[in-house]
Amino acid sequence: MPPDLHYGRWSPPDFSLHGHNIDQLIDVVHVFMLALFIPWGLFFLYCLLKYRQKPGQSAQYNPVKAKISKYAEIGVAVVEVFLLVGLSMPVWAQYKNDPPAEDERYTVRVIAQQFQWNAHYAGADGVFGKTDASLITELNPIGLMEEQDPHAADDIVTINDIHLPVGRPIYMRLTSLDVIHSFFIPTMRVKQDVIPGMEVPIWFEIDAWALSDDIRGNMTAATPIEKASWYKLRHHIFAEDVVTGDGEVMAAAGDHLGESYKAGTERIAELREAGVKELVMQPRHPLQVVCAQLCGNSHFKMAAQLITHDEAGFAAWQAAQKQAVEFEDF
Amino acid sequence: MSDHAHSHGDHDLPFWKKYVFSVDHKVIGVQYALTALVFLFFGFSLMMIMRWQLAYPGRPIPLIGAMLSGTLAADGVLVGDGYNILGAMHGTIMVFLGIVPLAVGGFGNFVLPLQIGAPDMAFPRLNMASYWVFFVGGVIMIGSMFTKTSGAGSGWTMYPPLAVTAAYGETIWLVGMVFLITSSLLGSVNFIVTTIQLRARGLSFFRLPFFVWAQLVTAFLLLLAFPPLEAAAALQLMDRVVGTSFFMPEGLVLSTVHLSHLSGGGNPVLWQHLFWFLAHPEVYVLILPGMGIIAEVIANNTRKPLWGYKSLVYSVIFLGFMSFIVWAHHMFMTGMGTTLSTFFQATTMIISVPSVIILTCLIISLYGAAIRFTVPMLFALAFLPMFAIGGLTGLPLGLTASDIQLHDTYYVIGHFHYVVAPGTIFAMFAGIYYWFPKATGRKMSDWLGKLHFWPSFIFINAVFMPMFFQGMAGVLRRQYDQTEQLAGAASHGLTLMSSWGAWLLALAQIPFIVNFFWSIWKGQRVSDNPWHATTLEWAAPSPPPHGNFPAVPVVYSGPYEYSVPGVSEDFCPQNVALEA
Amino acid sequence: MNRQIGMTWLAAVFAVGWAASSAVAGEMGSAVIKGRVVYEGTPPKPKAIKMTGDQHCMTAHTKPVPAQGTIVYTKDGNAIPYTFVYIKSGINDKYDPPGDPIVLNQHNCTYEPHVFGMVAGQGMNIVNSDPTNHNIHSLAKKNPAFNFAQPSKDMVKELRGNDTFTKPEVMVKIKCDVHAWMSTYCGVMTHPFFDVTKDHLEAPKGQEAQRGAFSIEKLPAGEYEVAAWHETFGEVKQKVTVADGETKEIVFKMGSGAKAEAPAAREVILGSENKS
Repeated sequence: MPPDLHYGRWSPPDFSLHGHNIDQLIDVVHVFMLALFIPWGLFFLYCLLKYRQKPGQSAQYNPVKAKISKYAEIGVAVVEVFLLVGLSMPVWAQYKNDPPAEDERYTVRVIAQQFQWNAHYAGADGVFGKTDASLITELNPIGLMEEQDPHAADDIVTINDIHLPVGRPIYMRLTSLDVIHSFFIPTMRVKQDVIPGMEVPIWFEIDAWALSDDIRGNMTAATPIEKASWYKLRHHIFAEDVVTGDGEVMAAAGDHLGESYKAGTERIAELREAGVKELVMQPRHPLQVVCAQLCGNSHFKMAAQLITHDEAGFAAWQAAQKQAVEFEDF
Repeated sequence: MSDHAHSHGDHDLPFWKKYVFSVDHKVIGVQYALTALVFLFFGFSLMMIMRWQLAYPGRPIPLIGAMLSGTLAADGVLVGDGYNILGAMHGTIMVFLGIVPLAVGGFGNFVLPLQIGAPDMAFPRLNMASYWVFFVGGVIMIGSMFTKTSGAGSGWTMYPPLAVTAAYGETIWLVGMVFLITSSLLGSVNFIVTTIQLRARGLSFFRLPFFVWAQLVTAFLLLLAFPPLEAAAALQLMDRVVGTSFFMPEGLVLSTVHLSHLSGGGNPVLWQHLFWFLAHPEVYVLILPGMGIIAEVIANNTRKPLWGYKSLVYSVIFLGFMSFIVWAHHMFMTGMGTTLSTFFQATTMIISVPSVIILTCLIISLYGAAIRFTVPMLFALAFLPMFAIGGLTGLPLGLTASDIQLHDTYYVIGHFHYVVAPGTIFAMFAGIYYWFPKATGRKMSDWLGKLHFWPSFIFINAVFMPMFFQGMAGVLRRQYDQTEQLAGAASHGLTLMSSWGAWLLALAQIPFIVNFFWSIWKGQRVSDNPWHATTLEWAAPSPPPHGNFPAVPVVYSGPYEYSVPGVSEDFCPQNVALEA
Repeated sequence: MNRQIGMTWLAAVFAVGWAASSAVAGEMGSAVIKGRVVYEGTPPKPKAIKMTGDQHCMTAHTKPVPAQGTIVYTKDGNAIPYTFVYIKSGINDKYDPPGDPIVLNQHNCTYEPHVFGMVAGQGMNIVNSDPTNHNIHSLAKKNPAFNFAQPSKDMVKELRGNDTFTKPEVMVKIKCDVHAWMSTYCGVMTHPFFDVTKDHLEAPKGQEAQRGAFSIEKLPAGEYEVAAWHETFGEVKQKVTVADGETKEIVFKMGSGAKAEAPAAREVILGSENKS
């Protein structure tokens, strides 16, 4: 696991097997862009300085005869061909044309709607229960035929709560119930528009060491209290107890700063007055699935937590979902 | 032709025929420009309201918050619906009501006939019709924001099924678009016929100023690319109002309600193809007139011919042609396979070549020059690196593999704003400062112009440069509250920088507005050719009368005969024969 | 002088007329219909909701929550809460809506109340008490199908006049598009004779007998058809006749036989009031 992972600086951390190819292409393209911009820019500034209008000196009618621009143009074209054929097309082809073998992959369905990601797991029998649109209710968001289809009995349906195993190819079948959404995991370099009327499959594999709990620990960072803002730390929790010089416990590990700007800002002020110098925090849910295509008034709110497990943890999670919930009162 | 020029007898026209329902291309050009500038300001204001919500999510907007309608805001705080409505209307207004009418309707109408030595456009009444159809379309679009629905809210891209099922002002938007598109179609026919038929004697195609070439290619783009969108708008209007399923697939379930009354069978991706088939050439419509203006200003203020005139012309023609076959690079994420995406990636890479050539020619034109840092030249010079940044940042977006990470993020917003804002809008400013003396006979104030330029340049970079970093970090676009997303929360500092940049940028426009109106009445009076320029419009009086030229000009040379060796003056107008 | 007297009479008539018209048009009485709604047979187990995906909801409800439409109090005689009991026929007067608006509150990622009734034309205040974004979406067929988001805590939307529910409709379903499990049902009546059976929050330990109970008061004497509507178990009806001052107790029995007539949710494309 690379040390010190952060959000918000250039590329986010990458936890997928194919991600580094995309990052490499992005880096190479930016180097190319700078290789064009810097000489252009330097030449531009040179001309501005050298060729200012001066009295007694006139402009040259035909100053440049060299073929340099033609060679530069050919050079640009050659680099672009390399970017296209050498870097982009192979990565894209693998992304689009090479699904993992059926016996190796773990298949999960994701059905998008305004404004949640429904994840449908096939359960122990490995077969997805049938669904029907007429059965859709708020308690059955994908219309699973719970009574009619025996395969549906062991299916798991979650809302905005996607769990995936690491170290195994994941095959995801994406569709939408209502409008176009876009399934985007920034930290896995995966994006796919989710279009109603179509089912589009995507596949990727998560690095075997990328377990959510480990990632969370790794993303622990200290923010000096003068630079702390609730907007930046609203999704974070304290990594350890916050104890002042006098030994007073101002906040416990796992606490958050507050649920609103007002509450959070007051809390930060309170901690600052108590003499706390820095806030040592980590994101509560380090991995997120977000919606990248405008889908309505709560498009910004359409995010699912993504939790990665090893095989044992994943099996345990699935078992826990199927445990019946007992309510004592009635 | 001379009969035509004198048949109007404009000295006898009543006020409303001379200045309101005028068929004179100059009056129409000024009408377009003023209307477009008002709409541009309105569209910019919408974004400034949105930037408050981005910088201080959930907090009431000072002053303006209380005035926003119940659909847009509650207790002065913008709500999700309001943010989306302001965003969609911002995009629509800036593109269709602001830039195109200013660049093509304004500058094209005013300057093009003058630059080719014509007395007016080929079809003056059609020209007037195109303005008024645009005006009605503009009133409909802006008016929709003052109805109960407060305007369209599904992006300027209006993707169904969201745009079909949304309960905002999408229907009015579609009706408004029909008017705006019709206006552009009427105008483009006029430009093409005028340029081909009404050039002065001796003005062959390769003696045309680059501005005219740019407008000609732009007119072809408008003529050929808009009809599919007009058709698509009609189809979506039917989907919304009548219940057809051109873009609506079967089996939609909206908020647990199965839309079983729809026949289905439509495809949302069809709209995307029809929309982007226009909208990609549309972005070249946004930039080409600007490039034309920049070329004129640079030639004039370097006191030498543009370097690589032929390359510029061939490049702009090639660019126009290529712009029709790259549209699906906006759709790489829709589930496109390798065959189609290979084609569009390749064409997108190819189209970058003429852009690079044009920019390189303009930069090399500075070599061996005698640069005058006039106010139009400041804007023209700034255009060059800004357009370079905008154009170059299109490359990672045009390659499918890198587009996976960058599509629909702030990287895209940074990319296209760099081309349109410090690109085209700076070119518009350059054109206004440059041609103001021709339209009014007065010059705009230089020091107010510099006071406008420098803060604008600094703050416009402050607004848009952070967006590339946010996009790389994964911050998504069209987000009412960026901080709901981890990446958006982490980069909130950059959002603050963009917001404050935007508000300061707005303040920086005040010198321009003051300068513009003050100079109309009190500006320093200047001669017919204060910039000592070579192109034909400067041979006409300032302002040109109805019919433009006292005598039909004859052209003897290319458009940029500056610093010709052996000639004492450092410029030689096109309609003056060069002594051997 | 005559003119002054004439004007005074005119003013008096006007005042009386105005006062009369603003009085409640419908008649109120003194009869009471009360009782309980129970499940006959073995009720299905309550469904569990995990409020995932929104941190505020998860903080407010760390353990799974029972879906309100599936709760039956097996320890209290199979009493069914959240049943809307109303006079379905027999009332012919039109009743003016009360001046106070209905308050629909989004609190801890549930709607409070889960089922409620209102008189047609009564104002509605929609309040967000949560520091998170809710998107309230009405699926009414005859009434406005509003759909808007309230991103911040303490936002209040006041619906009055034509924006509120003005046409009788049983029942209007309102749900949240961000938190799928959140739903509420509204019975829009032309009269104020309705009630909702109590749940365990209104009838906590010590008052279990009140669970599933309803009481319709101030009823004028007459013959009525009373209905009990539940979102999962459907609707059952009874005929009841009351005289002035009389209190009648009835029991509604619901079984799995009566399937809920799904509240005719309205397709939102055509005919939405806010369209333009």
